[in-house]
Amino acid sequence: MWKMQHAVDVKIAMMTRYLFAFAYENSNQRSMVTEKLLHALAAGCIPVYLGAPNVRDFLPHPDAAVLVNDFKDTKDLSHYLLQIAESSELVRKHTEWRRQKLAPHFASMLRRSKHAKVCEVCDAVRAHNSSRPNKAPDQHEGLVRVLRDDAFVHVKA
Amino acid sequence: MQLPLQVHLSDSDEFDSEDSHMRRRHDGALAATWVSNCIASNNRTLLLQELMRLVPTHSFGQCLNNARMPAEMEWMGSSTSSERHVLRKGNWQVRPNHSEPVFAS
Repeated sequence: MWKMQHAVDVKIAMMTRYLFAFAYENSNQRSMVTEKLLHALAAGCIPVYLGAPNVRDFLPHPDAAVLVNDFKDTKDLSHYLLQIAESSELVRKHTEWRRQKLAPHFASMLRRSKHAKVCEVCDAVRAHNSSRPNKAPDQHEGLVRVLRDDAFVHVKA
Repeated sequence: MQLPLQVHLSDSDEFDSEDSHMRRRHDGALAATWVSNCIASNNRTLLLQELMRLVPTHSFGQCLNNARMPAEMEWMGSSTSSERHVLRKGNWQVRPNHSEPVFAS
């Protein structure tokens, strides 16, 4: 796990060198917003986002990212990105949210992060095991079942 | 895994000014991207390819690669090719969600 976190840290550290991070999801599924967007925001980049049509629900501010679908074509989008790179006003427009208090919906979303979800799963398992006094507490079958049914699928390719 | 956002996002002092933002480019590139799956259902590879022609970009993933991934991250390619974790419910059923699939899945 630490190695994964280290890789994420390295990725984010690298991203801090760039003004933009292209966060293109592999589907345009509603609410399917992945780490691509969050890493870009964490690195201080302006994310250029393609994917979930309701991504604004996941942004700290409507201008926190440039949305590909707001432009008629790639050329139009590229013009705007090059304009941002030359205009402190436009940079401010897309980064101003960082100087404001975090929007409540976004702060709440962070609290429901994957990390928090795993904790919730562990709490559920602990509660489940403690409700069965005849079972040894270190048995993992409850955890495996909860993970399989409710959160993680472990795929062997 | 803890989201790095929890450390950085709310602290405006850690972020640079507009001027230093505008100086953000690396070896002439304005943008970075990490894409590992070239076969996406939403045509992203083509769209990214077009955009990369117009905006100087470093692409670090296995797809559209034009920049070298740092050694600290290269291990992910081999590890994730044989074993992957997928947040099933997070991916498809719960709203809102923010799943975190591994980079090279």
